Amino acid sequence: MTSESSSEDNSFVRVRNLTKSFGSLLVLDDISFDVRKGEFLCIVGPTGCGKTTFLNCLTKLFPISSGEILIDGEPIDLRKQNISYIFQENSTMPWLTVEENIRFGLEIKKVPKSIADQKVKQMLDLVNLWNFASYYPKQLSMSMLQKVGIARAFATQPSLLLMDEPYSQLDLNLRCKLEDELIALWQQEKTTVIFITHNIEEAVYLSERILVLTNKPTKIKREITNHLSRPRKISDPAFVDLRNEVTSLIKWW
Amino acid sequence: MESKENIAIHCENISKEFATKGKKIRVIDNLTLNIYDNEFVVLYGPGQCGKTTIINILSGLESPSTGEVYQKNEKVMGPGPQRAVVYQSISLFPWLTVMGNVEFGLRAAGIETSKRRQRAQELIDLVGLHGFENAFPNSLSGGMQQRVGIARAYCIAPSILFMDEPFGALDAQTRYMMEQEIIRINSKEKRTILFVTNNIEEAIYLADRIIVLNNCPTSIKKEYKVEWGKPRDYTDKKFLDLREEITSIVDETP
Amino acid sequence: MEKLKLEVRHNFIVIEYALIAIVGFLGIWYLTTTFTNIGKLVPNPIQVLTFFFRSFVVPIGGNTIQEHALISLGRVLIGYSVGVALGIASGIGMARSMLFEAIFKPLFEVIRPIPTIAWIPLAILWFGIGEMPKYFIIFYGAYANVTINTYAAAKSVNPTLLGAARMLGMKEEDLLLHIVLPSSIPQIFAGMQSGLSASWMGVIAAEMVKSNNGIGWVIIMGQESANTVQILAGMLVIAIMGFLMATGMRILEGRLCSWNQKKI
Repeated sequence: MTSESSSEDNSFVRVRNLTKSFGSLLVLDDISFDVRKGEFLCIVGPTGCGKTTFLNCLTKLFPISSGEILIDGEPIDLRKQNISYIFQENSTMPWLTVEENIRFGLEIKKVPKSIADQKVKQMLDLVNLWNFASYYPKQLSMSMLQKVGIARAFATQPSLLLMDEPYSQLDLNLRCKLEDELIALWQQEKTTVIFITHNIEEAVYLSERILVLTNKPTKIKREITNHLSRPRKISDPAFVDLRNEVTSLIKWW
Repeated sequence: MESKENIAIHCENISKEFATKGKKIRVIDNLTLNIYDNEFVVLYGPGQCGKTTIINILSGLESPSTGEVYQKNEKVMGPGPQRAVVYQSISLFPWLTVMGNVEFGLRAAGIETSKRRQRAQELIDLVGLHGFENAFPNSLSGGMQQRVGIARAYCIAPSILFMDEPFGALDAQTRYMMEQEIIRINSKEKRTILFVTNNIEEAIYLADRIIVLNNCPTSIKKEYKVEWGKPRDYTDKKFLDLREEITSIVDETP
Repeated sequence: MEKLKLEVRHNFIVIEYALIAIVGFLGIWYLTTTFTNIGKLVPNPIQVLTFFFRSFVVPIGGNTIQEHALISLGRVLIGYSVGVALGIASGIGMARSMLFEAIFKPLFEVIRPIPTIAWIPLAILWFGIGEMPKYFIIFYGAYANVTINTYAAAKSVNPTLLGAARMLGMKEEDLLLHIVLPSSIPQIFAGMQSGLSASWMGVIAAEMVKSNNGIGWVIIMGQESANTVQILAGMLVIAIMGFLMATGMRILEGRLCSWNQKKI
């Protein structure tokens, strides 16, 4: 359960010396880490630690001050590489039904209809929205909308999926169900996932490895490998120990 | 010792119906409850099951379709400073400073300036906002705004405080901090509190008594007494056991 | 500190580009009027600016140009202030009194599409030739805009704020002055800004129709004596005054409504 860096040979995502300043304000300070192909990595940090800046650098919304981000050996390029992201705010298209939303990315990639049909059905099953396929976003609850967003992202089989607090607006009970669905999707598709959250319990529940960040200027405080077997139980003593360990690294309150 | 004398709020057979598009929807069904003096009671339930409506009815903002609410043997007829509310969403007066907001109730009651400033200052200090007296709400973070709302509600010396998911919009860590703060504030200035949340950790952390609600139409499913000391440990075995038990009986969020 | 430096630099760049644009425009104007046939219709900028500055000393009609400007401005200030005051009262009255709303709102909806300027002939017939019709037009421009904005704002006060005020013990009759009004200020201010434009447009139009002083009169006199330079000089005065008023309003808004912008 302690520090272990992944071997450079099977690193799919490689971040080296990522630094970001806004004027003289140093936000991200020389961050380096790897993500293996198909790994589920969670990133947690104290409130205000620049997690969003980090994500914006990854999605090229902000230009980085120095360092590099490589996906499969190539510099990150959102157009060429198949990268999806899911945010806290829902982005389902209100003029498309649930099914059409999930199909959306597949149509853009010109996936043949028979294969797309199968994929859509599979996704609907995995997120338990089969009965709602022809509903419009307006008719759905917030948690269902998030399910649609996630199904849509997974449907295109992205090489990298970035998730930024997708469940923070939802009830705790709902979160557990959605997290289980997320794990099922991930195990099925074997996507590489970087999941960012404030919620330590969530990070312990989902991750294979946890990156703990410091406050600004943000560095990596610790890398922790999560050996807990699935399905995980939040009341399990080993789970509790890991949760407490991560909490002690972050706790500011 | 619970007896009729120390019941802060009593309501009997409350129900509430709304009429939309010609149909009548029953939001609350046959709710009867007592809140005792100085109790910290948490109303816990899934999603949008009418918890805010219960607060509105108990505080007097809305009237029930049937049933009545009594505060210390007096019927509740409308909102008032004896039944203070801390809201979930933006409720600070944006054109007033922190001090202006906190002293609002005392000002409306006609208390003279130096007295009310002094009391307001005590509460601003108590909630940890010393130095921010002249700031406007638009320059405060979500957590800080909620603290102002709490100070404002305490300032009018209410006999009961209603808190309607006050930390719902905060991130997980800030939420933990605010929960700690509420325990600290309440130990310094003890009040009767009815706290609404859909977060089970928050419920168990704060409550002397948890009332678990059903989905729509809302009624009481079960009650739990939590007689442990405070502050509590979220990862304590008994905490996690209770959490598991309540989670297993609560309705699915729609 | 860093942020301030960035801001100052940004402002510098904006002013730099603005100056380039204006000088460029003047340059093109000068060149086209001097070297092409356009010069027969449009005077060159030097002529206009010469006339403009000369009129500070040499009167047009009975007054210098700055006196004309102040006369127009004076008319606006009177009509505008009355329009704003009554507009705020009407807007709040309509929003909070169902009787008032029932009577006045339909009238408003019918009259609203009629532009301020269309009222000029009627105003002259009703109020005669003197100052009154001008004041009426100016008043109407302000009143219509401010009433509509105030009404919209007062009608959509956040109900949580009203509930909170009642909860904290505020009496029902105090809510109007202490909650509805302050919460409506940003939108009332927007109404005041569009009202000021409407009043200013109104006074110029009214002066063009029937007056013997003011900037509108200067312009229409320019037309009657085919003195294009005078027309353009008049328009220049309007541009400058409009710019100054808009800047003034923005500064005032910064003071009054600083609590409204999201700072975090």
